[in-house]
Amino acid sequence: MKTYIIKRLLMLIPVLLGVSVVIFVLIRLTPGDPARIMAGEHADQQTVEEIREKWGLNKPLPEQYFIWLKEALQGNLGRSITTREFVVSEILERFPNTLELTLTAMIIAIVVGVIAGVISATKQYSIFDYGSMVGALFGISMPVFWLGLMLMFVFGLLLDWFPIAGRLDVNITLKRITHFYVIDSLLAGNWPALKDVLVHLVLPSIALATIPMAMIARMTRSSMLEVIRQDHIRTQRAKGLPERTVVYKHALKNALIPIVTVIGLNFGLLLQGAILTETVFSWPGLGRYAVQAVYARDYPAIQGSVLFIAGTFVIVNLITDIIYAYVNPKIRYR
Amino acid sequence: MFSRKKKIEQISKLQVNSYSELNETFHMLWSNKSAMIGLILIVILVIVAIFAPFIAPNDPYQRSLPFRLKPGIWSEGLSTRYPLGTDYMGRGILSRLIYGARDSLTVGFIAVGIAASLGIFLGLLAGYYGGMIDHLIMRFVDIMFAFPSILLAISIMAVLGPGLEKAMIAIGIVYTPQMARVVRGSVLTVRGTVYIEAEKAIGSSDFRIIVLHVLPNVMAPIIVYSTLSIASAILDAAALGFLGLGAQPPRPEWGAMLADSRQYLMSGAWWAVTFPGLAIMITVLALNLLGDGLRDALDPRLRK
Repeated sequence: MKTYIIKRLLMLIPVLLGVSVVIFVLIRLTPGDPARIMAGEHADQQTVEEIREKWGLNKPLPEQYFIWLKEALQGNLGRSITTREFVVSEILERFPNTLELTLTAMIIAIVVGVIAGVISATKQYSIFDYGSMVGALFGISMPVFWLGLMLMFVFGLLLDWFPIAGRLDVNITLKRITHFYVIDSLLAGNWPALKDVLVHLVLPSIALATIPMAMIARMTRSSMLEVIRQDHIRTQRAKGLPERTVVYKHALKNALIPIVTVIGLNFGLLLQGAILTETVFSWPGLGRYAVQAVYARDYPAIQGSVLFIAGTFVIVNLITDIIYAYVNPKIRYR
Repeated sequence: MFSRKKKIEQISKLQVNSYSELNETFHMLWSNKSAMIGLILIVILVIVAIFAPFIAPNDPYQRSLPFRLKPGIWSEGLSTRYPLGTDYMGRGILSRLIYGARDSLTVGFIAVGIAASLGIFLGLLAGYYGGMIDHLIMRFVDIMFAFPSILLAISIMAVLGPGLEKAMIAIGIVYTPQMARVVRGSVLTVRGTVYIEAEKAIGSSDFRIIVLHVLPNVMAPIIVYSTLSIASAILDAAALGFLGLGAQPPRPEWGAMLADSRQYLMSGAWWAVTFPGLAIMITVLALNLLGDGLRDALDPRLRK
């Protein structure tokens, strides 16, 4: 197991380097003077020259790349054109917001998806089974931004149950410790803030959770159906174990490997969905930051956020692979 | 990453080896109810897209401010003229959706067409020749896999600038690595077979072997993967349109329509947002149903 992890970690290096080359080249392909692009349209000549000097933009392309990479590795991705802040600090400020949203969505997706899948499998061909599988089919075909808008309209506007934008009411003060608002408000024992944070989380996290939920439910059902017909389950039933124990303790445990895989896969998908969900709900996360950077043609911010999201995506995928190897020893020895 | 690879691995193993198997495949597809529903829906959508000028009740670009944001047949009054209501410029939603079917289907087919041509080329090279070429191409594919697809599409759009045609190119590029992987995987299984060896033994050129023998035998996985990819390409194109990076107004692309009408949702004009989303969902659903059915029909383990 240890060698597998080390091997995978080493394989990460060329991939991340490749990612950085792709991002670097992509921005350089943009027509125009790169120094002017990095400085922004409205910058004066002196700033442009400073940037040209600092990032070696008058040097050959490979050399430019190494200068950029060296700076990036030291945590300097340049300054945003629009805010003149350091891109890295802007990213770090928003990253916990994205993480809190995706983790909440993942928990909802796993809990609801697994339970729906198990019930569908144990009551195959029942109304519940048909209902949840048709629901799951629609779930994976839905544009996430549309679902977000629909939830917003019904539960935010018509019923007025939940707020439709942002993360925390402006009138509530909360001391930021971890930047995870749920944890922060718990640590501070600030109950009104906790309630407000949670109601803000409801709609975006449900919108984001729907697609993974559908996939997890489908996979749980098919995996459970395979396991539940096996002899050892019949034995458990024959020896008189209660149905609940048979299903949740014995069958589900054996059906877990494909479910874990799908969950891992969906972590990556959630990062994608977050880009759109954050835009719909004005959630101050990394995805929205990236999209707004594209609108503003803020190239340092685009570069930084894409690099950061891609890096997170790679690491999440690596963790999935490791967990997968852990639950399924066959993979380790390949 | 693992599961995406695994899915690709599974799909790249699909094969049809004889006419009787082809028959069986069609038979299975024919008797698969949900795949048939998908196929019928797609045929209807294609017909609607082609004959849009004859079907649409009004001109999709014709603005009429007195009729802005009017509800459709569910309320009294305008029902017959604008069956699904109007948007903020008084354009009929139904007509725009009908014309929009052209854009959405075109984006799906062309983007996947680009991805398939590039992917088949790279996959054949990598799979057939192996060695250094294979290694290089596959490392490149690994790197492209490190980007969430919509993020990569957004970054490419940041360089290309907004527009529907550019969105097709961006999505085509984003989908190429996956396609290359599918093709490579199935070329590897075909390459080891006896008939390829026989061709080599009688001195056929690589080009002849690839075009006449390898390519036809890797078509099954390509078709399945393309069908499923068109579904996600349409979703991604709609997402780009929604973000304002894809189709530009007044073009009636479904994602852009959603983005246009978004701000009027708060004033209660739900129809302007709901119907474009439903249109996207039905199209994607139909393609997913057909794709899943095709995969099952081509899977030898499921054949009787």
